[in-house]
Amino acid sequence: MNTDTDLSTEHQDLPTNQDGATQAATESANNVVQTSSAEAIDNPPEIPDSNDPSKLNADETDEQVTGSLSGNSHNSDFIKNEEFKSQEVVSIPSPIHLDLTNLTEENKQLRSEVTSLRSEVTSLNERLAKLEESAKFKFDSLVKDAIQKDDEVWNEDNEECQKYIAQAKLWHSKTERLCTFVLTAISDCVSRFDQCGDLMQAINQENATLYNSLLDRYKSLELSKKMLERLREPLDLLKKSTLPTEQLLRLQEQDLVDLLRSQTDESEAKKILAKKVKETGDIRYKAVREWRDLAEKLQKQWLNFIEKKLLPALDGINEGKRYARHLASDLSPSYPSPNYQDKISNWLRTYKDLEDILLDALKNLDVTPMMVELGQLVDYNLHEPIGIEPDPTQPHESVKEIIRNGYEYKLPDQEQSLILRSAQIIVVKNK
Amino acid sequence: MSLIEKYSTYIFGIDLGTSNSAIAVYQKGRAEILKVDDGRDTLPSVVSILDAETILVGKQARSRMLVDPNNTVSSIKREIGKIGEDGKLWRKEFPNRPDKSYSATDISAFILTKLLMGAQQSSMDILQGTPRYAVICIPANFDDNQKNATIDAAKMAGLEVVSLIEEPVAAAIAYALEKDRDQTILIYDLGGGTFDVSILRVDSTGEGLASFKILGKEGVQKLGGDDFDLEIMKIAAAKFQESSKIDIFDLKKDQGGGVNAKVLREAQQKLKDKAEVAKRELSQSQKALIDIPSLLKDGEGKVHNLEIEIDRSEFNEAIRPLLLQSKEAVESAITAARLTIEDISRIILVGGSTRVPLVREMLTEMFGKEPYSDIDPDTVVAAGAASFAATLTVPDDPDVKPQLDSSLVIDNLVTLNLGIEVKDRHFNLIIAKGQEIPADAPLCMSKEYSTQRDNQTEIRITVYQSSDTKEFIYEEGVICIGEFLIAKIPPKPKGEEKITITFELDQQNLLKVKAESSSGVGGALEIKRS
Repeated sequence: MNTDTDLSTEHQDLPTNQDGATQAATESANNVVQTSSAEAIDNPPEIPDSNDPSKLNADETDEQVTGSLSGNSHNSDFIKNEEFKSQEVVSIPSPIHLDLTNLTEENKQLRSEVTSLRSEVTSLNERLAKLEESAKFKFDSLVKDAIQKDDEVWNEDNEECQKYIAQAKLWHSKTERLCTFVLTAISDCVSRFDQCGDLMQAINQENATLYNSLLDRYKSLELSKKMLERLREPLDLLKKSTLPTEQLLRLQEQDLVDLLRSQTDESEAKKILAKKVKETGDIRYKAVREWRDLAEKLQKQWLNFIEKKLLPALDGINEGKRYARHLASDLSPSYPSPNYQDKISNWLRTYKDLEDILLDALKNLDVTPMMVELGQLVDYNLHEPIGIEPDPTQPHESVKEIIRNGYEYKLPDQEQSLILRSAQIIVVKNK
Repeated sequence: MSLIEKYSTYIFGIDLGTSNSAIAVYQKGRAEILKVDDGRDTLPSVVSILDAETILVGKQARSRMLVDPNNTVSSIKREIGKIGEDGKLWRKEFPNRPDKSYSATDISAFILTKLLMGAQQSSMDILQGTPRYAVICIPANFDDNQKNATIDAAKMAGLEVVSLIEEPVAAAIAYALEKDRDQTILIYDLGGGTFDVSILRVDSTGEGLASFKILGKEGVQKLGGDDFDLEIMKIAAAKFQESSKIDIFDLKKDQGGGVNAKVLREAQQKLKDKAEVAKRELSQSQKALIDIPSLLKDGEGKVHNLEIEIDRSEFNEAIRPLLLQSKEAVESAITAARLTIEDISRIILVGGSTRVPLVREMLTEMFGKEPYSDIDPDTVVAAGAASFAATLTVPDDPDVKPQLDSSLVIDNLVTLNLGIEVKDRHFNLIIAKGQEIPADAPLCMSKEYSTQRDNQTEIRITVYQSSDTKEFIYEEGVICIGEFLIAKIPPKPKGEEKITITFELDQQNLLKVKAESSSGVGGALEIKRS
């Protein structure tokens, strides 16, 4: 804001006075201005308004001058040093030396008023300069302190945010890999199921008894197939997740300057700045939280998909394989020919092949079955007991049987595996 | 050189729950739930004594419940500070530690310690020191003994309790601090095993000031979301029985050509895992599939699959009777608060089980408006406690600075009848249940008594509490909470010596009892240690 412009604008707004005496006074005043202007040539920037005839209009009241000055004071209180220099325009012309002998009484009176006004302007300017000097200096340093404080917190927040961004990106890329590998595995499994289906047709044509003996197992496999095929839709949804932008709010110096523009009290200014720094920090931290929540959500989604959707299908296949352990020998009396064993072995290999396809996909996602040995002591962190059985040949609280496999996963740059799902076991209880 | 422990300058909000516990801290404009127990938001409130050196707490302890129930304890909150039928506080001896016994306070201290350790491990950068101060949540009906036992458990875990806060108030704070509110709200808290309903008046429209006042409360013991999973299992088992003729819940009968109990137990476990998933699915959609390939193999070698679909309507019908109990409790609480359904502006849901759609439908139908669902029902209590904690200071520790620039005023009601034993074992009421405790001063009530016999020189003052109005101290539900003796009373004729008994009850519902006789002797009892 330029004081020069301010003053002239104000003067233009002043009502025009038609009174002759005033006009005379104006003329004299113009002389005064010219004189002072001439005297001030050595220092021209201080009197930018010297050619404005309205500058010393006799109608210009104390109030108007004061108003104009306080306006300047008000607006420039907290403007930085460099800006302030350009505003130092409300200056006092040099002392006046005039020949007063020819002046009328009226003129004398006007002169006296002018002198009085000038003295008032001088005093106001002095006050203004002091005020501006003290306020400008203090608040400038306060603003700098606030910016520094915000910078420190910004750095902390940014460091934390970068950690979450890295985590979110890691889980995002893991989700992409999950979609790729599991979709491929599902297609491979479906082909293998279909081969088994073809085999069932062939067996049905050749030996209805054998077909009927295998039918309940085949239905289990069909159910596993359905479960896997149903995963395609949620996988397509997972693929569509996107990441937000990476900008963190930072406090701007100009915002703080604007905030304190109408403020004169230092302690109040401090409070305002502290509040602003806190508010900005809180808003900024919301973005940090968003990244953290996103990282958590992606991780949870990834773990949940494997644990609650993919593994139950694999569990069904594992269980089918467990139940079919003696099936080949149980069925052998019904074989129509001795070489029929190959066909049945091929049928039974479906379990193993499906298991391999899914375990291979999991391996590509750094997920592996948990190693649990029968007889080892229960680790309550890894194992979930679902039943107890006495067994004097085994130690108390050791693993008697594994009912459902546990799974672990690994993250890049981490030695230790994390638990994806605990193993369900039967525990030896001898006490 | 000795190392000086650095303490965190935060005051923590702790929800020490019956089934699960959580810890939170107010930081950077919001209450943060701190991860505990392998990155989870909550810690199962279960403790198991593994051997002479090791105590398991949380998920591991819960896993051990089946294997070693004698060395494992759950739902300890039901026992803390409670005097049993034998007139003694709950204590348990564990076979794995035969040399000592543990009180409910000890067990709760283990849970708190694990909670703090978990929070420290996961959030050291936030806490910047060992936790030292806490606000702990308690049920709305906890008596003085239970409160004091909770405070003692915290002390044992190295915590100083700055304040206790009632769970519904904590939930109301979490809700009211989100925006300016001036409402009568109802907190519907359906946990894993218990149900509580409270009605509160909240006003957070004042500049930096929010007030909370409990108007009424009610509860149903043994009603919780754990029953919902069981209902789904029952539906699935019935459908499975239709096709297979095998009842997987009947472990005694020989079924399906020799399906033994072990096979059935395994099948039950498979179904239980699936029922939990199905319950969540039914909260999102109208139907849930329960597919278990190779659920079990019968004695004839036949493999049975479970492939069923459960509609939400089926599930709703199964759990409706359970929820009707909660509805009755809600109605009683509204009546107790001398309000009508129309006076309730908001319904706030607490507890994971409130995610079940029928809970919301029932409340919507009852109140003509949907319950508020913008806050996480699992952690809202801990979050509210942390927000409350963020407004507090610790007188002797200037490093603890309020994180939240507002004051919370909690007006409260007396939750139990309080009185003393008088002639012929009568229960003489001094402070009645339902009276309001002012926010800025304790509630003070005095009564005058006199000696029963000539030349009586001693008087025993025994303080009792009861939830209902009782005539005699030996009636069921009347509990002794403390006693003291006034001695050296100058011998005088019966009835001449006057004794003034004063009960002083503060916002925490903790009691100070004072007795003064006309001849200047007296005594005092402080059933307050916060």
